[in-house]
Amino acid sequence: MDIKPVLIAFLAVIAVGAEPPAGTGPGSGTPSIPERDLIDTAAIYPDYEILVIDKPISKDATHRPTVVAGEQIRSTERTTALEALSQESADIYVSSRGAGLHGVSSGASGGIYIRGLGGSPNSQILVVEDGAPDYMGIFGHPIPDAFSPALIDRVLVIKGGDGVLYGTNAMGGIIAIENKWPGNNGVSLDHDAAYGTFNTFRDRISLFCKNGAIDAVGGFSSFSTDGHRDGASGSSTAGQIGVRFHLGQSATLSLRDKAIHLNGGDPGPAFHPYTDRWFEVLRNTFTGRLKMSLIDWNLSVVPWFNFGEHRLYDGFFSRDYTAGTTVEATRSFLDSKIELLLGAGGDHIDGLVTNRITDETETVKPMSGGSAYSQLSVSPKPGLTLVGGVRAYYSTRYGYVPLYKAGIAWGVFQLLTLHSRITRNFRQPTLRELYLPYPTANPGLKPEHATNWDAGIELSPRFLHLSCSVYKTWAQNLIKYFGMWPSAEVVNIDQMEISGIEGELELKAWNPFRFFLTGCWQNVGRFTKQNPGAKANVRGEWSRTMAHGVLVCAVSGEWVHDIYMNNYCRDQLDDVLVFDGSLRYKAVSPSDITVEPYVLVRNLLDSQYEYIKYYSMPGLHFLAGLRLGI
Amino acid sequence: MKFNLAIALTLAMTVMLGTLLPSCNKTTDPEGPDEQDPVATVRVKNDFNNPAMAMKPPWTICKCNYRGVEFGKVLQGDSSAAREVSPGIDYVLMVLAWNDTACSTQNCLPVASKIEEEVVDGQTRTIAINAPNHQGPCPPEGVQPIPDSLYDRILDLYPEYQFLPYDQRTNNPECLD
Amino acid sequence: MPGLNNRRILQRRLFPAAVFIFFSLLSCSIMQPEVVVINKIAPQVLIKNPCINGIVWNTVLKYEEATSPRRCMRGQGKVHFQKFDPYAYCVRQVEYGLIDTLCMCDTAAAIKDSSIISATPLWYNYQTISSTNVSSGGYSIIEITLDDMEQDFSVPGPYGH
Repeated sequence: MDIKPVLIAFLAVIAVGAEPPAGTGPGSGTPSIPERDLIDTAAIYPDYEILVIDKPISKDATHRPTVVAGEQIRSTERTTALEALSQESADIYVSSRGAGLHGVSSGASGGIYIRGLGGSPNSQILVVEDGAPDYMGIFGHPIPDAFSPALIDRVLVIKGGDGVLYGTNAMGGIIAIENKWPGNNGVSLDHDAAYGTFNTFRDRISLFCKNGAIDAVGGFSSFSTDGHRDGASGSSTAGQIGVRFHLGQSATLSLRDKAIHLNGGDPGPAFHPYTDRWFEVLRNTFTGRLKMSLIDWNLSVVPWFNFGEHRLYDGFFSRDYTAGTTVEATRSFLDSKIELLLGAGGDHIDGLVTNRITDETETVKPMSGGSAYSQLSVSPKPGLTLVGGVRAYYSTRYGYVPLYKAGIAWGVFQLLTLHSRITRNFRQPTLRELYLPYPTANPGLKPEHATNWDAGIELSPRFLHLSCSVYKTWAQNLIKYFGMWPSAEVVNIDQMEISGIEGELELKAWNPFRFFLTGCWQNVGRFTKQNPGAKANVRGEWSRTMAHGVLVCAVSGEWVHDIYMNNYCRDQLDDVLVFDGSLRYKAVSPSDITVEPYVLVRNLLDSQYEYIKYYSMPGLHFLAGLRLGI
Repeated sequence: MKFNLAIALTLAMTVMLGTLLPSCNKTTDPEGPDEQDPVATVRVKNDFNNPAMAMKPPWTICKCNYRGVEFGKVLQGDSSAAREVSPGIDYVLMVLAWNDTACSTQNCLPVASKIEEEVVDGQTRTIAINAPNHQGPCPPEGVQPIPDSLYDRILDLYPEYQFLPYDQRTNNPECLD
Repeated sequence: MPGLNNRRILQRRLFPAAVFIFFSLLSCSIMQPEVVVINKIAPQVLIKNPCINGIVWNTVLKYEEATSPRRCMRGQGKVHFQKFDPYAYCVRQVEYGLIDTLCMCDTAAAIKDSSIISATPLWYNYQTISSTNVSSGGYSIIEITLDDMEQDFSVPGPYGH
């Protein structure tokens, strides 16, 4: 049967409902923000919409990032903010273990897998906040519980990595967090407090203040829970402050500081709980950003300093530092048909590790690196964008590491976009892998490398968004542990190939219903340790405008298939199928005070499931809260 | 027309990159699995006298087999000669003799490594067998008993030791000492 | 948007919602099953830290002693615990020559090879053979007996196994 007429007829039907041309629409070859990320905030928090859409999506127009608005993360039905990202795209997988904290060290969840890379270790995924990389210096990975959503404007998950623009660790993907600044003069306050099962308490306050040339923001979030079982209790407290100065018409200087304190423990397997395996983490990140226009160049300078202290029940104590600066300059030529990005950066990582019980100190040598990189974007005709880039990374340990990328995005019609991208990425070994006996060290380790390729198609008429991508990853020199203490070894030996396909379907204009479905299947070969073979997420929303506000009822679900605790398909877990729900009533008073009582109902079907073997997830539980905006 | 072009371009791009990239791999890794049969080089070490261990049982490795390759006798503290094996994952299957470097049959028992040991293509690895990394048919309290599948594999490999069937494993002479 | 009639909203919407949420939260807690564990192994055997379905009693139970009732997650589970037999311990100490003599543990055939065993009393991991299904709102008393226990190697024991 010839299916071409059917396809053409289908496309013709879709074309009838196509959106009008827009500068940032899909037809232009630049990714668009899914409308689901904006609609709620647009109705209730008008300032936020301006903040969200007033920026380019990504520096690379051939990226097809998953874009998640901060408001979507703050109002998620899922247990943690990180899991909210996993809900938005099936090729992102985040493990969980309980009622709100991921933890660190043994028994921790929050492994982030993007298209088969990451998770173990998470150092193959890079978290970048306001342009500055955010990872624990010694272990080289982001702290899952440090992902605090109080001030987040939006998050871009760049799948397939981009070592050219982001450097080391951007091997499997990048989680790029952008925080908010106030849009209008005046003061606004947002307070969200909730209480629920397991004595769980959550409180978030964000304050925005704008006075002429000075913007100020402050955020505070606190979370505590007794947990759904012994040893699962914990708390986190995060505070952020920021100030931005408008220096004339074309320059801004912003300074931000974020501190976070975590307390918790490894609860152990449910059949054998631990109550004494505690951890305590204290971290602080300072980020600056100078943005200015100089002649025809847009210049951005981002210095950062990140330090932290980690204490564990077994006497482990570490203090780590990462510091660096990135300088980027961009310029457009020929009516923006050519865009050139030039960048340079450097970083330094150091730390100390001691055992407070035995008073033994491990020798850790600092690492430094510097990079120069460039990216060229060419749009020879409307809708067609070609991107190429190279980075030369120089490390004090490894010498020069060349990275490259190339991509194409073509808006064939206003509603149809094709894209493909190839990137060469790397991850340098962490100080832990090089020097620390957990379970063994190897100072001779070399960086891991990965080549990631994807290609896809997007259809975006008015009433739906449909996309599909195929991807493949080849990774070499993977750092791998063999054996067990006291004779374990860690070496660069392994290589892997991962291939997969992911797709998204969103029905938008079916008021009062909205529907979103994403699915992914991937072949991870023998690398099955916590790396699912298939995953799907679904979200349905129903809203009703009432006399004083809007009632929104949402249900989201996750299905995870083929999860194993070990490679070679060993120690299989049952498939996860879990649904969460929320009910929100959003009202605005005449004095512009927003009042939003809500209830989150997690594990609606009271399923017994687990992402980590024997770390059973809670049954049906609730969180009820009230949000006030002034 | 444009639609057809787009589909054709996507397909061409997919095929081109999909075929190009593995060849890039070959260039950077000429010893990779596509060029020749994958192989790893393995030694087995008798690590039962490791000073870091609280328990140092006096086992001698009399016979040893990993992924179908024989490694022979290994005295305490020694390592076997290097052997080439196919990459993968498996238990180390052994016959151990208690406090007897001569490996008299009555002092021997079928024993396996506790964990499945892995080797990958191109790797040179020494697998250590020690107190935490073994399991046997009549272990003292606190040491994991060997499952029947591994026990039977060892019996098939080394019938000359005439070990008793799995359901009578605790009646092997060494267990009764 | 019309102004809020606060009193009406409180009476007709928020109050019932708050009551519903309060009872929902309460029901989550009281619906968890309760469990008690009793040591019925043997008079000389002690058990430590018995646990099941996400709860652990950090205590030592002598023979016929019971834990306090505690709420745990619902579902099928075995009781896991650590076992110490002081009599067997002292016999081994005498057998391997670490203790010269001790009335009822005394034996003539001392091996005198102290490198094989540890002088430190070791608690070994055990679990019940049978599983208990504790369901929501239920109350279970689980007796640990000699013929319903086996070694547990799902967590590292005293030898790192």
